[in-house]
Amino acid sequence: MNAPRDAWLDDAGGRRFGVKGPHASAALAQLGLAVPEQPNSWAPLYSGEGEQSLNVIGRLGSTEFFIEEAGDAPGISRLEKLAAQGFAGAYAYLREDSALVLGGAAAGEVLAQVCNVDLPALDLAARPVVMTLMIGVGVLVLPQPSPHGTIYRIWCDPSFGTYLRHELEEIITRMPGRNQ
Amino acid sequence: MMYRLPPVPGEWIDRSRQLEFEYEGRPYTGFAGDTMTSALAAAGEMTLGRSFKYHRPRGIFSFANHDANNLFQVDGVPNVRGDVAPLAAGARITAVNTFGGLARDRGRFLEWLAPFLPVGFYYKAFHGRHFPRWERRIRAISGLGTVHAALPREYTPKRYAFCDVLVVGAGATGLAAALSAADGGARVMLVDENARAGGSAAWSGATTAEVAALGERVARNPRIEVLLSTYAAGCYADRWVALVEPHRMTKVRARAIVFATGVIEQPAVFRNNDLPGVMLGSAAQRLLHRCAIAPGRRVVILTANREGYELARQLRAHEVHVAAVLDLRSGSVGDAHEIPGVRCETRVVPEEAIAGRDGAVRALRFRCASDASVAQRTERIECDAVLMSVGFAPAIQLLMQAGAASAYDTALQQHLPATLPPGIFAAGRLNGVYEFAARRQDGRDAGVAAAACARGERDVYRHEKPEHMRQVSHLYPVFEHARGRNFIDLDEDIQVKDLRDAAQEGFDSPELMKRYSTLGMGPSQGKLSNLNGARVLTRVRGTSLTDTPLTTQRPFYHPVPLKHLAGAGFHVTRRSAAHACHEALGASWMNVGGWQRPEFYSFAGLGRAECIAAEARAVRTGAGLIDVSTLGKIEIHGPDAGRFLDRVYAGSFADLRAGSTRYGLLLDEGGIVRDDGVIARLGEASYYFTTTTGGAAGVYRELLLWNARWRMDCAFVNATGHRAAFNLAGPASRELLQSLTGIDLSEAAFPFQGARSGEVAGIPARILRAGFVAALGFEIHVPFGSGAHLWNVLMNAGERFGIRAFGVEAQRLLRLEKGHAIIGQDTDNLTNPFEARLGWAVRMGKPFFVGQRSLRIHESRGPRQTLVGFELPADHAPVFEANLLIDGGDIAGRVTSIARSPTLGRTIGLAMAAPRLAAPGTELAIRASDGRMVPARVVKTPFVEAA
Repeated sequence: MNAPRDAWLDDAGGRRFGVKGPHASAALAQLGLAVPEQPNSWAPLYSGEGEQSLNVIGRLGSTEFFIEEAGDAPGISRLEKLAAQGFAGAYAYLREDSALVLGGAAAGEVLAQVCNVDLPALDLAARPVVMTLMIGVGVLVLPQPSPHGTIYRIWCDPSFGTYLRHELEEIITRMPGRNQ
Repeated sequence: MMYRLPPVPGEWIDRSRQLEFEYEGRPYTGFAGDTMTSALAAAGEMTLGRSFKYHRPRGIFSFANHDANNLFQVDGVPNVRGDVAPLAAGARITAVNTFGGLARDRGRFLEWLAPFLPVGFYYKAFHGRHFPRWERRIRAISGLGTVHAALPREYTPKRYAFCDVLVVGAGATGLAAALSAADGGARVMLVDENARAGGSAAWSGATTAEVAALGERVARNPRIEVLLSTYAAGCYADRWVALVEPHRMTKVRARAIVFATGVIEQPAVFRNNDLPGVMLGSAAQRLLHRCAIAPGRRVVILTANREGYELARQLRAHEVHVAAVLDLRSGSVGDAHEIPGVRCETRVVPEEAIAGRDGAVRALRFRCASDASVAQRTERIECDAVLMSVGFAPAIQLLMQAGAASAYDTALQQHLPATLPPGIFAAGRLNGVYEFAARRQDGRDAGVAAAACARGERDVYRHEKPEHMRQVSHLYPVFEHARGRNFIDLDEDIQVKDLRDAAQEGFDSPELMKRYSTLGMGPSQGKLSNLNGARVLTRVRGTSLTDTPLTTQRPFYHPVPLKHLAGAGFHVTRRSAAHACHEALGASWMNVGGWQRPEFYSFAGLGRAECIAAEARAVRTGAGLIDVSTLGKIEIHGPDAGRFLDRVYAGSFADLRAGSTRYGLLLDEGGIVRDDGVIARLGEASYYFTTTTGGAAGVYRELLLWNARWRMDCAFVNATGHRAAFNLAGPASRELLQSLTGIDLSEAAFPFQGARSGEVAGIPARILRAGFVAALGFEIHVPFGSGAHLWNVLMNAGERFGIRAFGVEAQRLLRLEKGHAIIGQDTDNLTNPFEARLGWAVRMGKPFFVGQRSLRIHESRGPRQTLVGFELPADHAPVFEANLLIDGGDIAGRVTSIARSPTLGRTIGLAMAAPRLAAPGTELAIRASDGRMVPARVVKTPFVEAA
């Protein structure tokens, strides 16, 4: 038996929320959450957290943000209150994304079969976050350094979650060297 | 007769590994590294297939992946290209397009019918009353190979790849280009359709060692990725190139592309130029240098360039007997010369190749006048191979697809790139550079320029035309014969007279001639025929190739297996949060707008119709629950939200009270109904609304588009997948739901068209009072993650009310009983709201809304059609949706919905009918699918009033 190629897929935990609106940046700052400066980039949700933080905030456009937070998710709780109370020009909204993590040395080969963006070539130092299509599904991809190499955090509409996960697993299973 | 030679330096075969295989039922042996074709050639098999139209015997012609007659059925897989497909141990190979096997092919008698199959036969025969007869016969006898549907599916993935510089062609030019581009810092991808790099360098100026050294430098370079046995199938916008590898397709995007695709040798055209044993000189070179195969035991070379003499020398170096070198040119040509021990003639005119008993060539008849003062004489020379080396055409197809333009160079007698788009480079023989050293230099220059382009530097590359270009192609290597059989296109059996006849009939431009005669429309896509076809056309028209454009080059360069196009076969499907719950209840699935939805739920002992009827009865008498998560769900927030909705939707929403809903109708600018849904006002500046299942993504995009124009102060959220939604409907729905929520659901507190936010079974929820399928109903919208839990809670709590889950079919029936139209089913792309009887949802008095202006015109003209309800008498013939209404012998409408109502005990439906038929009581006539006329009567809707 050949040694399996190193690509793996896992579910991601955490809670998610979104914020939109012309004053979304101000609202986030008021809640003590980080605000990435550039569109299509991400930052650790709290200052002091490093590149491998599980708590991330992605800036998807000039006035749109995506937040995922692990554990008790105090930041998300604050956002939920914001959604309930209202904040002029900032609209917090529910995100129930399916969340996956793809990693391993062969992760790039898996992505090459499902996405026409050269994700492995992205400069991690720039903290990119990419909105693109993956085998017909709109996804948000955040490449992130980890102790075992780059991992790709992938979020999509939850109704597509089963399909996307299944197809990614199929691709990994069929990769050369995998015991089928 | 071909045969295997002693080892040839640089040969690709591995003589230590013998492979047994079977061809046409007989055992054979080849070597690893052989292609199927070469293994058969080495065994002396001259005839490898039958031609497509006349079933003439055919053999190796180009040995360059252009031989449409060397396609095989291999272990059940049709149309395997024998020129390049590697031989595998145990392969069971048969020829395609034969009836009764290759040797005894009954189709060979079709050639006798040739006089009755003129050019343009399809166009002349395939019309009128003769069409069905011809179609049946042609279908019965045509086709290449047999598709076996029972074969297991091969998994053929696609992948995307990226590089700075893509080099297409790994000959000397391409190797040099790749190396210089890599030296310039570029990530290079080098592709070649052959199993090894080197191209034709080994027999066109370089030594085997030189080629190997180049190849090794490339292999060692970490910046170069080499893909062999891979062809570029098409070049698309933004420098996307489709690469077909044996077991996958790669779509590569390059910052710059170097095309080093070389040239394709062209045949001479003379009588019987298609016999097995008549082949291109370059085919003989490939057989010799790659597979150590002699093209024959007594070879004649027909030439018009230096390459023919070089071929003779190389064959003799391997002790192949060259009987003669016959030069088509006059003796004054510089590179025509004598070869010691070989008869060399100039000013030769080939007359015909003569077939032996086995169908392969056994002699060549030609006229010769080496000295102009001597009268021409006709000779016959015995031979078992005629090798043609009379000229080349550039492999310019991909370059043209990339947007380049070409021009015919009269000095070289070859098309050359004239203009190249940014980021596209050409090099080598494609550029008219034939000498080995010059080709390498041209490749290096292109590689350097491509790397610079990839770095974003200004495109400074300008190919300098070589000073001393020699003519490598004969002006007109077409030699007509009174008895024909001089083939221009071996794929389609097109002869010179076919093209002349096509021109005579008026199809005298390259594009028209191609389509009328099918020239270049076979598997090789004209690579061996388009140039000679154009030459014949210019001769007929009295023009030249300079002013005769080439036909448009389109993908694919080679035919692409369907498995590569199909790829992994992804089928995007969406599942609701409660999918597993439906599965457990026995859902029968259907696809609706990309979602998997329960059509109905199966019950033991009940058929489909009975299950649907039972579900509908539950809703009418107790409670039913349907998963409507598939509805589009959109939020709009901001101070302008209400005004925005007023501009987009036909109704009024800025004045909607918080906690209320209103039906919304979305029109296009032509006033046509596009979508509908329920719009709820959640707060002062927040709305939440639904769209149809299929319309969600489109409506959301349209809202963004409108606001990009209007720049109103509002933000949009597409919550479609993020919220699950269930419609709890029926007379018991209020009591059932009240048991799970603290929200006051009484009629007074929560009337029809109300909207509330609160908790249901501890889950944060939005509840809308709905009436789509029943007089009483509640749509409950919750976070996706809570969807399955809420479904189960509702079903459990509903047990005491006899609750049943109901699917899409019951929903369609129930809403029909209520007389509600489904947008897209009861309307089409020409239906305005007045025709759909939805005028009540339009506020024409508003200052503006999308479609308003057109709607005024529709309103003034009156409806062309009207949606009416109808019912059928008992014991009627089957009527289906889309059956036509007939009035006075004319079509007067169509059935849009129809079902048997278990509530009413009769069949009811909706139809788009001429307005004169819309009055209740009007008798309709519906033409059923079997042609019978079925009477129907227009009735008022709703069919079921209060349920």
